[in-house]
Amino acid sequence: MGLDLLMDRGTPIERQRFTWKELVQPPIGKLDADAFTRVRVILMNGLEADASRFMHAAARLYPALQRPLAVIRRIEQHQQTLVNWLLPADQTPLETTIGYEQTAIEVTASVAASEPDPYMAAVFRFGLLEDFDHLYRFSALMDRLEGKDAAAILQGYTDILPGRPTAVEHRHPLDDLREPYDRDRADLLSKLHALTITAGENQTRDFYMTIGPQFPDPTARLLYAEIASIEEQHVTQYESLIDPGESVLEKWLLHEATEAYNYWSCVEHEDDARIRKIWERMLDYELGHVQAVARLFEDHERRDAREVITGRLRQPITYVSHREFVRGVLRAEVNLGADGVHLIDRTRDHEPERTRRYRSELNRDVQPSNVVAAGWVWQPGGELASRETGKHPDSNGVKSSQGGKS
Amino acid sequence: MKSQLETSTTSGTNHTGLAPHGDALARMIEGASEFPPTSSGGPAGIAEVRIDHARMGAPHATMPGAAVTPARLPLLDRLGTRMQFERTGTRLYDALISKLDAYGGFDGGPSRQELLEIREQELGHALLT
Repeated sequence: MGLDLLMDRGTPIERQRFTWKELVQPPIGKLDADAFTRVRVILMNGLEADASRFMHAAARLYPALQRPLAVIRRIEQHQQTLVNWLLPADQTPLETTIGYEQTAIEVTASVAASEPDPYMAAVFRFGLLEDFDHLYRFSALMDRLEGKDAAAILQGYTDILPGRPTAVEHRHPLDDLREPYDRDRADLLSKLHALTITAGENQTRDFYMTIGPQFPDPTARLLYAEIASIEEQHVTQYESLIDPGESVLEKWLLHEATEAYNYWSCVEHEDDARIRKIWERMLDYELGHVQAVARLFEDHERRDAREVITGRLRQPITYVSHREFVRGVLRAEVNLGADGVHLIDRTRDHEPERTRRYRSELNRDVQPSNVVAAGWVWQPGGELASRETGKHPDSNGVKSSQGGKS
Repeated sequence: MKSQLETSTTSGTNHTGLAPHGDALARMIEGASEFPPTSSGGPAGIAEVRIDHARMGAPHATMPGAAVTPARLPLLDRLGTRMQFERTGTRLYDALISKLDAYGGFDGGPSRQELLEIREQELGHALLT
């Protein structure tokens, strides 16, 4: 079994069509859908957004490819619409944020656990602990602003614990760049992993940059500003894993392969029959894109597409709780930092002066992620679930037993 | 520092509305007259789409399949809703107390102590539910 990206031919481009009603289908239930269905919707929206981002950049640089890019990119945009519009309107931006961080944690954990290249696996684990901390900070924000428990969205699959503290994640840009894989020697799975996580992080960055200013509470505005900055760092980190020596058509082929691989992973795990049909259709569309781009690649470069798409994919992204894997990484690697492309132990080695200066300047006036989660420990129902943790700091001696109307 | 009530009724530089922009208003009315709608009908079309999508939709959420008798589910559903309402209310009073600390109160308005008491009552209601 598995997926053969070049043998499984999918739907031809000319038969890939949509109506508005197909693009805007009934959304998933915020509370009734399994959390991993939401995770898949969030990730695949990110994959489609990154396909569009790449194809627009390519069109600006390579006029000979503008026509096929325009045709396939339009289909990708409609695919993104269909997928992203599955999110329900009663899911608030902050609840969606919790879903984004769960996606980052569980998908990155799956990728890190199966990554064949030890350096890339370490980089994925490095970023994982930072997104893990973001979930904790946003959960504290949700509890302290709205009195809501993020576990209602996470459905118990993902822990809410401090990771590598967000306040120390800020690094100089030159300490976010990593060593790229070698396009001639790297495993296909490594390339698909790098593109998958880059896409997810870039969508998270863009989402926070869009919704951050919509919050009235200043702590929320500060926290989104701070974590959006880290997501920008993560995009810098993960995209630098991708070999810049790949040709544009090689990159395009890998992008389409990544989308097909991810839709296949969705099909393999989806229990909701209606949503599964959507994933199957999108997989067939992406396989059609792989076919079209493989032909372009072979015509323009006079190379066999099998030089890039090597062999059958047997291991999908695993949509299960990675609790024990994440806790193991947390115990062993929370103190890591970076010096250029190298990961270092911050308890033993000094981070570069440029990063220490950059961080201390940013954090000089306020550290939003520390303010929002000061003393905060997740418990079922949040701080307000008990009198002791829920009381106001000035409430000693305040009457609380009668008189309220609501 | 001016209080919120004072600043909100002071004449200033608000650009909202078209009254301060008479020339632009006239040009916009002229444009709307020159370029008519491209589709016929009225607001009823939106109602038709709403009805169509409402009939396709599922409920917002259902109770989990817990070990309770079906007859009790409606009560638990409402209690859960009420508990979340009271928790969010508690946090709203947290924010309101900060606003009072920033701006001060006003004649006839609640004191900080009164807001604190109501806040603790909201918390008590959440815990009761």
